Amino acid sequence: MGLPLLRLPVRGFPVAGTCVSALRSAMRMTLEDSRRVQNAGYQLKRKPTKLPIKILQPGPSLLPKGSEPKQLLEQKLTQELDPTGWRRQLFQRSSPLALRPGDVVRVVFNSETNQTFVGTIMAIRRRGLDTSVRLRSEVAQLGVEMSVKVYSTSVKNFEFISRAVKKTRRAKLYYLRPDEKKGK
Amino acid sequence: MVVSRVISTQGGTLLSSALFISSRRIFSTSTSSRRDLPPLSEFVSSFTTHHIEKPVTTMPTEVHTNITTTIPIAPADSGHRRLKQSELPLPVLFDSQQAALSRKQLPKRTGTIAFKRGMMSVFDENGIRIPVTILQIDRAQVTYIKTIDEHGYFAVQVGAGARHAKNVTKPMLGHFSKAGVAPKKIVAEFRVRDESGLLPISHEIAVQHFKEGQFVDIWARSKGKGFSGVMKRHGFSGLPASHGVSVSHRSAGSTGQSQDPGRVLKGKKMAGRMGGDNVTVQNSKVVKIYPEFGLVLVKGPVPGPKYAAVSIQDALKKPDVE
Repeated sequence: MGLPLLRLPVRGFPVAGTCVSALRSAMRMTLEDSRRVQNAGYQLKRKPTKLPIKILQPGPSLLPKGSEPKQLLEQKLTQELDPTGWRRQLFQRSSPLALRPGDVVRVVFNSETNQTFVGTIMAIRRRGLDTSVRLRSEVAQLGVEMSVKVYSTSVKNFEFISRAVKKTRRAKLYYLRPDEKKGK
Repeated sequence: MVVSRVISTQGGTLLSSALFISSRRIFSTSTSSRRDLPPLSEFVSSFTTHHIEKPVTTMPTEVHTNITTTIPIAPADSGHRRLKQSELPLPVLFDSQQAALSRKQLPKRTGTIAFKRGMMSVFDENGIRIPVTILQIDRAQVTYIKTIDEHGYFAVQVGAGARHAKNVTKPMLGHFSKAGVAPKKIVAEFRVRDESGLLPISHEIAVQHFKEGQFVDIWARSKGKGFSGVMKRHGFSGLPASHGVSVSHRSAGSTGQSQDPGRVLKGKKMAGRMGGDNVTVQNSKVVKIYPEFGLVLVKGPVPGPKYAAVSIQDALKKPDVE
C-alpha cells in the first residue's frame, strides 16, 4: 500500500542483475511503513521544502460491499408492498394456491367504488416486483384485456372464481384472441 | 509609419507618384520636391485634424451598447480630440467572457457525481408503475472551489467514489491532500450561478442534497455503439426491399448532386462511430431517495452503461430548489 510511491526514486530502467535487486529492495516494506499504512492516514516522503502529501483512507461506502442496489431495494419494497406475502404466494409456481393460466379471477381495485374486473388469466409475467397478469374477458361481445401489476398499491385483492376447465398445455394463452385473418 | 518609411527610403527629391492611406487621399503629388513637403510631424497632425474636423451631420451624443456601458462622445464642434480606443471606457463586448457570463444560465446549487447502478420500477401513491434509474452517490465530497476573481467563474469541484492511493498520480494525491479528502475515483466540476452556491472544501454532498419530487438534469457519456450504418445512426429509412434494389437495402441512397457542386457537402449524415457522446437528460424527476444506502431513484433512463459516472444537478429549466 503506497509502497511504490514511497520508493519511487529508483533510477534508470530495470536491467537484469543489479537493478532488479535494487527494485526489490525498493519494494520491500519496512516495519515503519507498514505501521503507517495501517493507520488512518499516512504521509508520502518528500523533500523537506515541499508540502507533505497526507493520504487519507476512504471510509466505508453506505452500500454493503458486493451488494446489488436493485436487489436491496426490491427486498425493501416487497416488505412494504406485500407484508403478509399473499401476493407472492398467489403467483409462486411452487405454491398450491398459485393461480395458473386459464383460471378465472376477479381483481378488486383500491378505488372509492371498489372497481372490479373479471377475466381469464391469459399470461403471467413473473418478474419480482414487476410481476403482472394479463386478464381477458368479453364486455358486450368486445374482447377486453387488462394487464394488472400484482404488487401495485392500486390492487386490493384477487378473488379466485374457477380453475381452468382443462389443464392448459401452454403458459401463454394468446390463442384466446380471435384470429384476425378469419375476421371472427 | 508608412509615411516616414517612404520619405526616408526615397531620400531624393521626388516622392513616388501618389501616397494613399486606406482610401482617404491625404497627400498626392507626382512631382513635388522634398522642400514642398511639410515637416513630418506637421503632416501627421494635419492628417489627424483633418480626420477630426470632417463634418459629421448626425453625431449622437452617446452610444448605447446592448450590454452595460454608455460611451460618451464629444460633440463634433467642441474642438476636442476624439478619444483613442485605449482611452475610451471600454464597453463590455458581446463576445467577451464577462458578457458571456452574464448571459449564461446556471443552476443555483452545485450538483454531484453519481454512479449508475441499473434500472427498476416503483409504484407511486396511485399505484402507477414508474420506471426509475438507480443512482448511487458514493462518498462525494467537495475537492475544490472556483471563484470569479481567481478563475473567472464560480464552480464547485466534486470528487466521488474511492480509489486506492497507489493507483492515483502524485499530483492528484497532492490535490486531495490539500482538500483533506481521501483519493477519489473521479473528479468533476459543477458550475454555479454565484458564490451562494459554493460549498466548503471537503463538505460531503450526500443524497439528502436532492429532495424527493424535485427535477434534475443528468448528463453522462453514452454507450458506444461502434461503427453504425445510417439507419441506426441517423434514422434513415434505407432503400426498398424489392423493385430492383440489390444488396443495398440499408444504404443511405444519394449523398448529393452532380457536377455542381461536384462534391459531398460538409456535415452530410453518413455511417460512422455512434455513441460515446455526452448526452444530457433534462428534467428528470427525483422519485425517491434512500439516505441509508446513498441511493437516488430518478424517473426514466440515464445515459451510459452500468457503473458509469454521471453528473446530476438541479434542473436548469425548473424553479430553484431551496
